[in-house]
Amino acid sequence: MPGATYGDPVTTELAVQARDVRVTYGETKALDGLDLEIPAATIHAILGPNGAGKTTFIRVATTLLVPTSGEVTVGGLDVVRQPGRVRDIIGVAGQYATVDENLTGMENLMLTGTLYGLRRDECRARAARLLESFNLADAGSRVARTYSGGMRRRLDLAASLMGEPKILFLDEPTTGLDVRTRNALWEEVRAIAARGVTVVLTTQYLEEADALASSITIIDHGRVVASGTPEELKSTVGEEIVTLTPVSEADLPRLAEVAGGDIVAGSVRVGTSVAGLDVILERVVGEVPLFAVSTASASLDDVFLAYTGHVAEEAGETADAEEPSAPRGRRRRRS
Amino acid sequence: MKFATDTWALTRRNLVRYRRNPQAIVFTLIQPVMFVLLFVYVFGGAIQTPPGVSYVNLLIPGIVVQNAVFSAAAASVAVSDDLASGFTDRLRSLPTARLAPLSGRVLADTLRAGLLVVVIFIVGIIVGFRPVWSWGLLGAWILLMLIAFGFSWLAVAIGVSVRNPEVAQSAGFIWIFPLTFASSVFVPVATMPDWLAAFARINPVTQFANAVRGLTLVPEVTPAVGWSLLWIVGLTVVGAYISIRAWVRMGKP
Repeated sequence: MPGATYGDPVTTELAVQARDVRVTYGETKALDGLDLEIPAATIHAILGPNGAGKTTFIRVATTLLVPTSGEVTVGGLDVVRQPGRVRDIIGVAGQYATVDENLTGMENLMLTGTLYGLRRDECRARAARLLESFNLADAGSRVARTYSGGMRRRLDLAASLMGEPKILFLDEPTTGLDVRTRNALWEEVRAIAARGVTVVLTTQYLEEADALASSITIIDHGRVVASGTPEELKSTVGEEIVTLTPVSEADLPRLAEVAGGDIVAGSVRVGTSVAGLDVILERVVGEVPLFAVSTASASLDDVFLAYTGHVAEEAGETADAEEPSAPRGRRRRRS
Repeated sequence: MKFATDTWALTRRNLVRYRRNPQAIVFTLIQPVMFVLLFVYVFGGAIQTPPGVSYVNLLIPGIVVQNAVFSAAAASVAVSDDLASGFTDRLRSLPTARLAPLSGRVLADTLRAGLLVVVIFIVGIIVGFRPVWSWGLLGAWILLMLIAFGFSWLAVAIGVSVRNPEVAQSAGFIWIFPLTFASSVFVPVATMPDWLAAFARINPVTQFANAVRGLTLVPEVTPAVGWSLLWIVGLTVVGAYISIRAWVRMGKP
């Protein structure tokens, strides 16, 4: 497995552990031997494009889907053998914001609390507290149909906390939200994690993983392609990204070969150290006529590109859950 | 215990959904009233009834049966809606009693049918329906809720099997028209062509309508009541078997 790992697994308490998880639908391999370790009391992001298997993994970890093979434990409990006990300690909120729009905010939380097995008064107190802290106190007596998208997400998140979960799964929690609402939700997620809850979130936005998570797993085609802290991942592609644009597009393959980079949208991108530009230019100049050269610090976008062979989704785009994957790019890896 | 609590919590949720959805109220209430008015005043005059029995007295016990069945059929769409929207997933990710989403659905639709039937009886009385006020009415009411219970299980089985609300809309209702019209609900079976009368006689809806007629008009427990109960047991067993099997297999390879 490329990229860094998370220290000594013997001493680290793991909230989620997945071993060689496979989920197959006929010919389609939604998960193709996924291995994953998520330390407790952290925010962990599972990053990948549409169809990478993110939602499938969340469905397995939250007991909704039994994998074809492999093993997943959540809070030390096996999701296939002890699904009932797993459900007691997890909370789930999804991109579809599964609140009942015909119930009021309060009723939604009360229903969830009842199903968690809370007593009625306990339920009411907890619901009131959550509505308050998610800024929904005034809207609590209104039916959720009248809520804005952001309010629904907040209610969904509040509902997922009714059982005071140890581990919270958020499946693309900000997909389709505007920037302001998204930032507010990020704050909520940080606050939840600060109370010691392990947060596992899936996202296709590098920015989101970078902003929230202390560790990241990049998955593509149902498999882990890289994992580590945001910094570790960035360092694997080099500190600087040099973008070279040739005068003629026909020179792209030659330029990629000489510079040792990847072709992306009419340019060649090369990861390097801060002092590496000189070395690259020395190799290229005289071989291929250059139109432009630019440099930038490596971002998670570059990591993503390096490992998956395609660019990440633009933030704000609406995502389908687990559609058959996008065309497979060439998969050239840097060492 | 958890099963009872969860079933009731979800029953209430399902009933609130109907109450707060104006479209559902229109469908549930206006449509049967239109049927009553249409058949009593438009078609009724042209329909032959046995001597000494007014058409409205034959019709209302039939219409309540038709609506108990109709009302139960709504479960197909509701179940597939919840599956498609992700609400079912949320329930399944919570420590919900495993079968409570199914029992909560069936109980809600049974109670809804019970209420609907009372409304139609009242509308019927306004347009001239004259039942015998006796224990038979209570018996008919209970029988009608049992009918709704049996058909709810069948409808849930359809909803769980097709999973898509649009498909459930057609799959959940398509069998209802032949079943309720090719029966003794609107016209005496004897007036139908032989092949259709043969179907109408074995149609459970005919047994239901005749059972309710016996209970509300005489009152007496006719053999149709026995046949009705057998049908209800059959529907419940088949519907519950398919639903529960699909439910516990959900998410398994």
